[in-house]
Amino acid sequence: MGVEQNQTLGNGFITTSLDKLVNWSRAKSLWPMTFGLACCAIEMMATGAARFDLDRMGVLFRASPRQSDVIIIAGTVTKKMMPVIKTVYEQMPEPKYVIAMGACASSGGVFDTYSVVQGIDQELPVDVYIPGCPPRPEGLLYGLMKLQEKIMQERNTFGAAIGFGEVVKDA
Amino acid sequence: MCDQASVEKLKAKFSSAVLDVIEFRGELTVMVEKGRIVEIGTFLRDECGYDFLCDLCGVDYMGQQPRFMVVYNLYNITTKQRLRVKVGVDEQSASVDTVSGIWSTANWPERECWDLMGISFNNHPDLRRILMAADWEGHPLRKDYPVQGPDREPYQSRLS
Amino acid sequence: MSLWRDIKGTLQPFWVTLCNMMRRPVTVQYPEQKQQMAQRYRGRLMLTRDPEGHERCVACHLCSAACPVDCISMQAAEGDDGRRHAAWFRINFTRCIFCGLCTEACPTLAIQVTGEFELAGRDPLKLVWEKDDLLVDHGGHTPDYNFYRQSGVGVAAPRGGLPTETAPVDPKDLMP
Repeated sequence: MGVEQNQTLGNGFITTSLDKLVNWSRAKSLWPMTFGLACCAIEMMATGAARFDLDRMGVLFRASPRQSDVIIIAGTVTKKMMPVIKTVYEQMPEPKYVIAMGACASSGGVFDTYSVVQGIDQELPVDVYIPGCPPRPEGLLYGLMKLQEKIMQERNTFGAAIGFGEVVKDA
Repeated sequence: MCDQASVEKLKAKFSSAVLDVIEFRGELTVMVEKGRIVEIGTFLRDECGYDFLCDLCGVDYMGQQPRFMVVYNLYNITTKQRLRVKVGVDEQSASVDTVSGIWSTANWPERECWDLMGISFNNHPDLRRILMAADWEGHPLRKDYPVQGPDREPYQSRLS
Repeated sequence: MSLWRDIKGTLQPFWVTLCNMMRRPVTVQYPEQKQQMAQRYRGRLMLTRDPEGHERCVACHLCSAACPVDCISMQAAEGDDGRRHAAWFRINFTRCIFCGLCTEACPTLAIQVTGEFELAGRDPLKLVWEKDDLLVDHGGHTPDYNFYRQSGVGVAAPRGGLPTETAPVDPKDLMP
């Protein structure tokens, strides 16, 4: 416990306020990777379009993993595609988050077969699971809001940003 | 509709290699011997005008002899006629001579057939996996391949 | 002629933009303003009760047999009065594809769809819903239906002829 406390900047008023500022700026400008795999990607595009408009939540799709904060695994992940997704994920800078969108990415869904990864959580640390086949655009928005909630609950983000200790993620 | 003339020519030329001729609902199927498929293919292309290979596929008849069947769907672009040539392949020696020298379009279907069925093609220019990952083990469209993958328990039944 | 075309070509896009600027925005302000789902929208599943307040589910396994992804599992049990019910009933919503085939298979209209789609969560095990989570206190789309009052009644009397019965369902009516 004592070691853990040494790795953070503590829970003083100034540090927690700075943490909140960092969390707020991260949560309200979530930039997902433009990465669609299957039919869920169509619904993701619909979420980005005028009717549901991800931009008003600060969610802009970026075309490069180097500029993204979150990767939305939208669709069926085959075992052949898995190395590609891992490469893209590893190219993303910290802090990075993963959203498993749809039944296929969450658990394999209909494709309980030899060629499909049975849930992206076997390979990547997933933050939010969105059920549905595919989920409604509102479902994806709800999942993004869940992720924002999670980011807002993180502690010592300012300390980690200036190179002191690690981010404490609440489960 | 059926191109009986070509089949008669084929029978006259390769009387021992043509094992069976089946006509069903206007579709002609010729079963031929495995070893002479390249000769027969060349003859069908040059003499009978079957200049297009629509598709090449493998079939797994598990429990029968021979176990596999390679099916060549041919098309004559000039006369708009179709012919199906079938070749039986044993499980022990699952290999056929390639026809990619006759119809170059056979290259990828033969790769697919090898990838998913495990029927190898002799003298093929580039016999690699085409659909599955390069380091995949096994041939998933074989009937004895577990549908959920070899590393999982076999599928039991729907009802608990 | 060419000059006139160029001027037109320059101004027309501005005119189109202006027209669209004047239009009402189509954006649904989602978290604050929620869309009313269509009547036949297939969202989360629920287990309903009959008008007497009993569980409708008789644990016949038809829904789990109809499920294309095998996400429904249950254990049948029998009460003191000989009436069957599910000892436990579990739906894995991470695998569920919300196709509604279970609701079509259900003979007692126990399992029904709701319009709810806000299911996203951070723990996949919390998306495996047990019977307590699925059970609701109303009859869903068919509040008056009671399987034990209506099954076999039509054999003795013409359908819809009994005083306790409602009129037969019109199969050509698309509304639920």
